[in-house]
Amino acid sequence: MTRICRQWMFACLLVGLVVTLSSCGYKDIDKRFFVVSMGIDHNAEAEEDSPRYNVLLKLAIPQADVKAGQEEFILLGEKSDSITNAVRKIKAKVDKELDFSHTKVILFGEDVVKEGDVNRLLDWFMRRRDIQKIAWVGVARPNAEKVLQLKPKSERLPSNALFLSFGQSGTESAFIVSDYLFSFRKRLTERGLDPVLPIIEAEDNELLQIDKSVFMNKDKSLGLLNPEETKLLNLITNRTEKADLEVKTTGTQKFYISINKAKTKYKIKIPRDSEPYAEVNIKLVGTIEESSEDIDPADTKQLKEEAEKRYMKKAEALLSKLQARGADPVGFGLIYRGTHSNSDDWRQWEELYPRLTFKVKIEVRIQGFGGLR
Amino acid sequence: MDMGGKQSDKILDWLQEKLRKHSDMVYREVKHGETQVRILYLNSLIDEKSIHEKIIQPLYALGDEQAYRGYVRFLPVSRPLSDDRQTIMNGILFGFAFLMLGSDELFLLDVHHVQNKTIHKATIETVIQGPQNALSEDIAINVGLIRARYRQVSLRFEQETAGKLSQTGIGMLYDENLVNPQVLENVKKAIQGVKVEVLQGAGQLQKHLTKKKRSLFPIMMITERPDRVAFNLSQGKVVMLIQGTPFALIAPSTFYDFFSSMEDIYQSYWIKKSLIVIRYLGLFISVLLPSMYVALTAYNPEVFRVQLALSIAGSRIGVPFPAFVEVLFMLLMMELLTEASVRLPKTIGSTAATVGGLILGQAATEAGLVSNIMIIIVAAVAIANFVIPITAMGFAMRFVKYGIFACTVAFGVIGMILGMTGLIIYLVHLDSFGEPYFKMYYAPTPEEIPRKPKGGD
Repeated sequence: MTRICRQWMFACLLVGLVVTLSSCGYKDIDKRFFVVSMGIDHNAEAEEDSPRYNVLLKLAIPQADVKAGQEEFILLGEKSDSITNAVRKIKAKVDKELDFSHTKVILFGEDVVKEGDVNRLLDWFMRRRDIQKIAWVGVARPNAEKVLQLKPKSERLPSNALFLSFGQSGTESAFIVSDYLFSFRKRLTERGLDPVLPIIEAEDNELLQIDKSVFMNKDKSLGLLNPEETKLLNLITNRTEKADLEVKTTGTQKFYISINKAKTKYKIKIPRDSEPYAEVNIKLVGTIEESSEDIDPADTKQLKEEAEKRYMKKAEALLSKLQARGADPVGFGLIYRGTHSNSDDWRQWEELYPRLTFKVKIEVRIQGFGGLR
Repeated sequence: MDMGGKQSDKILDWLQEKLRKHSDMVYREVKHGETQVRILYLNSLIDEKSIHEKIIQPLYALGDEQAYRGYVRFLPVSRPLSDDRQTIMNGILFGFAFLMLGSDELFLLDVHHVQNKTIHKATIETVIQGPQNALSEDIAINVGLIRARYRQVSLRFEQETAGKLSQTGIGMLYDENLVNPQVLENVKKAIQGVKVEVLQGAGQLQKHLTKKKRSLFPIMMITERPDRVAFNLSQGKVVMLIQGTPFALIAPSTFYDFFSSMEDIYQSYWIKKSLIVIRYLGLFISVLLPSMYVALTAYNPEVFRVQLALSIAGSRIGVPFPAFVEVLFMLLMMELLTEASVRLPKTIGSTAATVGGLILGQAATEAGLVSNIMIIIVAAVAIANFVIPITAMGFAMRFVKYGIFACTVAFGVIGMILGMTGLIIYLVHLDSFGEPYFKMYYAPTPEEIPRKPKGGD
């Protein structure tokens, strides 16, 4: 008798557990509206009491027959002071349940980043459990609405072009900085490591251009990196392995090296008798892809030195530029804190960073000369 | 002697009285010189030709009574017996001929006509390269087939009967040196405890051998392959042959046994391993795929990549049911189709499969009742189910998936995990004649086969 009683109690406990543990209720996949990307702009209306933000949701409309260029989506915007409020209002406009589980791109308008609203906005994204923290974050130019409206011809699904650009499954470009939401958030909060975000430009309403980037401090954007600088930063921060180097020799000759392996290591050194410096060792391996004049294989050493010298200067210039603006996207500060552990490390670093000099060593290994011999 | 003669006459009268209404009863009296022979049998069970050859012809050839009596006594098919009426009656019903020599010597002659003694090709557990024949429907022939593959003195053959009315013969085979005596004891006890009127199938015997009234998983292997029987004998198992079916029961069996095919032994190492992996994959697909579809589309679509999520959503456009109704609808259709094609004659079976599978599937998607992806899933489930080599296990798994499916519909992914856990708990709790049942990965190692200690007795 007691045994049966206990079995029943166990069954009840089990059912109770399962009911409480099961995720949000049954909702068929075709009764959901997938938000594939989100954008946040400043409200263009310049009145005194108008809401501050324009929150945009790009909803994918599923199609039975998927064809390139035939994608359909709804771009819904709502002006509000908070994302929560905007989303609530948008919910009232659509016939299906909004599903943020596939929101994989989050775009901030350029002025939102400039004016330092990002920290406050990010709060919503971090708190919502249904937003995957592996969403990519970017800066939209001129604003998020223009970028989200864009319909590239090759796209099969809404925002797929952005997914492919940021993920490694599609194009692998050295100019694209991709940063996940969790990583962006880490960079915004971690002392000694600052965020960099890609700039996504809507070009002629046909294509997306992603080749520049914005570097920030913990609050707002501090400046812009042009494509060349972006590429270099990607190499220095080990974000890319494939890049190309343009080298001018002393004469009029120009040649291009296509890099297929890159590895950078840093060290911070504080000698007793001289100024502190950061040692940056970049190792690049590649082949010559194009040249304006004939190349004699015997000159390999000279070509290699040419490339190393040129890029050493460029890299030092880039690091100094970032240092001058007070940004540290490479994470020298974090390295310092990791190797000089004491209660005072951050204040020391803040005092030390402006004085830091950079010693960049580049080692280029030319593997071959391409198909020409 | 005179008394005995009267007794014998009484027996004959009694038999004739009892069997009066059997139109296949034959009673004959033959007299040659001094020798008198009386035979009574049921001609539907008897090979009359051999009676003629073995009994009647020698009577005329030998002439002398003493010589003839000696001849009959030493006939390999003859069994002398006392005047127990019931034994004689049973014998006649079993297919013996009752023979009375003079008026004092009684015999039962084993001249029964063996039906279905042909050996067919294995059709249920086929292998590509390996022995091709299955067991026959006669125990004696089957024992012969097995002895030919397992030539050991230690191979024991014991006969029992079960079935109150059918009196079906059950042959028990085991290797005396390898068998686990405890298991053997259990099996013997179980056979003696079988209470059934008519016993005709291996599955039926299995059902009555297990103590539980309701069971889902087979805990005894049913096989039609003599090579599998021989192989299992070498692993110390007990084999039961049932008169009248070409199937043998093997006990004890583990979960793994139902996922092994005889082909595994005949193939090389990596092929065998890959085949087993494929079978388990098939098992998981057939049990979990419908649940997974519902759990992932209706509860957690974030598990898919976005491209897939959108194409599934796209394929469900216009489907008026929730996903679980769609799944149930298609699975039910599939079960009907499978069931129908088993019951139908072979010639119509393929037509049914075509009509059901192709046309129904096509039409259902076009009518917008189910999505394309659903058709793929149902087809995958059906095909994966047939990968399981032993049909009894395939049947069990066909129905297990509905249990897990019900949990999933109610509770999503957690429900699926719960259902799966429940299934595993149930399997772990099972045992097969005292041996643990749920053994998934390996065939028994030599250490696991219990052997009698050498020189023990």
